[in-house]
Amino acid sequence: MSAAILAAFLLVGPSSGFTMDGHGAKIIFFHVPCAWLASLCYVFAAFCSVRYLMQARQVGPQAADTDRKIAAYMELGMVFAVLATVTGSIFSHNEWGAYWSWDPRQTSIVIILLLFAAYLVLRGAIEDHRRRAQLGAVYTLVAVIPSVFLIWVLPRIVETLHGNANMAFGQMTGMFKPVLRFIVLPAFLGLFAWVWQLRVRCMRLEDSVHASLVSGVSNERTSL
Amino acid sequence: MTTLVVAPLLVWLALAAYLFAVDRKLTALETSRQESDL
Repeated sequence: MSAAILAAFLLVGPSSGFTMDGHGAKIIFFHVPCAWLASLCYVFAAFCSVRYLMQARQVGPQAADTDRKIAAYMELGMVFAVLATVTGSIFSHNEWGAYWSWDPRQTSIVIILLLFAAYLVLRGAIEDHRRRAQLGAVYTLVAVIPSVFLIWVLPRIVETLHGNANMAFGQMTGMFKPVLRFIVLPAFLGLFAWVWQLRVRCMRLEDSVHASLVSGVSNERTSL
Repeated sequence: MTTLVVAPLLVWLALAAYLFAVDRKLTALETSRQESDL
């Protein structure tokens, strides 16, 4: 990440191809990876959901671990979607003159944020671990269908302010594209993997502490 | 320009230090949990 920050400011000159002057366009180096990671979270979570539903018949540590992985992907997806929205609004203000203009891309990220939030609400509302995991996995699989449409299809079939900048990074010139593709995106992916595994380990510990507390209480009851 | 480079670097280094601390704490907790399970 340090290399990514240094490359973004030292290797890349002031933006060309953008309306704004100076280094303002460099927020793209933080906005694009965040949006990219939020989308990737859906894909990974959906993959794990299929796996969970295949494992769900056997109640065991494997299925519980897959559920934790889905939850960690969805939580991080929410964080990166919020970051993408904030950095995108700043870019929008500098480039197009308004923080928010209900562009199809902007509208789609709001819906994606709501889909992530709904998962977290659903998860928080159910006490029973197994039921929570099953409903969470099914919800993720259902939510991935509108997400794929909103992220990859909609911005390509309607006119958006983002223009051909979707994925093709159309407006960027000079070192913008190589630095983004080969330094910044891998750096963010590494950061994401690091935070994700920390979150999964935290959840494992929380569950194991919870399980020993529950078994401790039931042992006390039987001894009474 | 210096501020532009130094500010995000400092934010990143603070975040990295925090993540390292969480990582170490988690490793210690996992080890003590495994030992108590044994």
